[in-house]
Formats: sequence, C-alpha cells, structure tokens
Amino acid sequence: MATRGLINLAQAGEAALIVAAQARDQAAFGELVKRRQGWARALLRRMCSNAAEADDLAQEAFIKAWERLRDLETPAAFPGWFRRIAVTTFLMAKRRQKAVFEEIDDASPIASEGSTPEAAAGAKIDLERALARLSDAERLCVTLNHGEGLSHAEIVDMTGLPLGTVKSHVLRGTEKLRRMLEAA
Amino acid sequence: MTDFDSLLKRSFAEAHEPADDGFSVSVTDAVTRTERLARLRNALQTGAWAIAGVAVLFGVYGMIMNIAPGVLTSLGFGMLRAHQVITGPGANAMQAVSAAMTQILLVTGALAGGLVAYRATQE
Repeated sequence: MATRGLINLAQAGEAALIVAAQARDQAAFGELVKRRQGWARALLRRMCSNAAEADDLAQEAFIKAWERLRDLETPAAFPGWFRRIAVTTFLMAKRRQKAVFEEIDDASPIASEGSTPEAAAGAKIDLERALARLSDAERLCVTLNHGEGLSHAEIVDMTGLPLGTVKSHVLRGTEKLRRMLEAA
Repeated sequence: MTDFDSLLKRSFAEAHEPADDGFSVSVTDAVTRTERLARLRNALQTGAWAIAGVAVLFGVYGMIMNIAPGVLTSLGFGMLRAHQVITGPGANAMQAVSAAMTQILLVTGALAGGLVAYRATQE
C-alpha cells in the first residue's frame, strides 16, 4: 500500500490528496489522477469523439492542473475547476485545428419536440457512437449540458460562446440524437 | 424536460468510464518530466541572472574607473573654488552655491537616481 509521509495515499480522501498535491507531492497527485482519470477521459472522449486525441488532451489537462493546482482555492471545487481546464484544453486544440464553433451551418430553427414515449421507453443510446455524429460544437454543448449538468449560462461562461449559439447547439445536437434514436 | 432529455441524461450517467490502462502512470511520468524541466529552467535562469549581474558590475566598474578621476578632480576643483568664494573677500552664500552648482546637481541626481532604483526594486 502506498504511504507517503503522513498520508496513506490509497485511503486518503480526495481533499487530502489535493492539499498534498498543492504542496507539490507528486505521489498524491498521481493517486488523484488514478481516481479521476476515468471521469476526465470519458468527458474528453465525448467532446472529441476520438479516443486517442481525447486521452492526449486529458493528459495535457492533468499536467496543466498540476501546474496550476495552487490556484485552486478549496479542494471541493476541484471537479468544476478541472472540468474548466479540460474544456479550455479541448477548445484550444480545436482552435489549433481551425475548427469553427460559432457558426451554425443551418439557420433554420429546430422545434423542440417531445419524443414519443415508445421511443424513449427502455431505450438506451449508444452514446459515444451517437455523439460522434454531431459537430464538434454540438457535441461539446450537449455533453456539458446533458452529461455534466451545466446550465446554458455556465456553458457560456466556460466556453466563451454566445448564449444564443450555445442554446442552438444544445437544441440542435439533442434533436439530432433523438432522430438517431428513432431511426435505430 | 422531455422523456428523451431524461433518457439522454441517464445514458450519460450510465456510460462507462475507460479503465486505467496505464494512463495515470503516463500522466505521472509526464508530470515528473515537467518538474525536472522546470527545475532545469530555474537553474538556467538563475545562472543567466548571475552572469548578467557580473557583466553589469564589470561594466559599471570599468566606467567608474574611467570617469572617476575626472569627476573627483572636477569635484575637488569645484569645492576649492566654492571654498575660495566663501572665504574670499565679499563672500556671500549665493555665490558659494552657484560656484558649487555642478557638484550639487551631480550629487542630487545620484541620490534621486538611487532612490528611484531602490523604490523600483521594492515594488
């Protein structure tokens, strides 16, 4: 069992690991990465739709988190704080790839229709495959809204996209997923 | 919230998370490399500052050695002149001050420059 100083890494709570990592304890940070890697990689895989690229971005995000960990005010804020780093890392990568987030290819509004109970009852989406068919911006907004439970305003704050654009991407992405489910 | 929204949220919540297939080890290694690079960068920066400091001191020393004799001579000459004015017949303070004005300005300028430099380092 890994023990370092007064901290038993395997049994330490996340808050203790974060405090130790803020004091530049690499082993504590390693344990934190072990515990959070699944969530972080899943989040980035949903945003990226490419597992290898997502894992590279997750690694980049963890390294940034290590470098900026002293800026984190309370350990309880770690998930939201790390999510912001992950999203920023993703957006920077997409900007390097010249991806366009603000343009909406089809200006026609999509009505938010309620899905039929038959379609939804007992159904389960092959989420990663369905998300892969959305645009980068739709995938980002749908993941943050439905997957991470962020409001439109929180997504605006995190991504810097205009509110109307965020709403459109969420609505459009959700609608596309609904159609995919109905077609399946 | 529609049925589909609920289904979507459930699908997100139930979606599997990737297993740790060496990812955390790879991140830990990358962090170790980052720390090593940061230490190296700090050492290089410290060395560069030290070399730059020595170079500046050397330059200032050379400059002082070049101009100091002239300044001291001028200062001594000025002081002598001021002293003669003060002690000479019909001396007054205004004449003494004007005679020593170059030296007064030089010393005041040096003090002000030193003060500014000191404040800059404190801020």
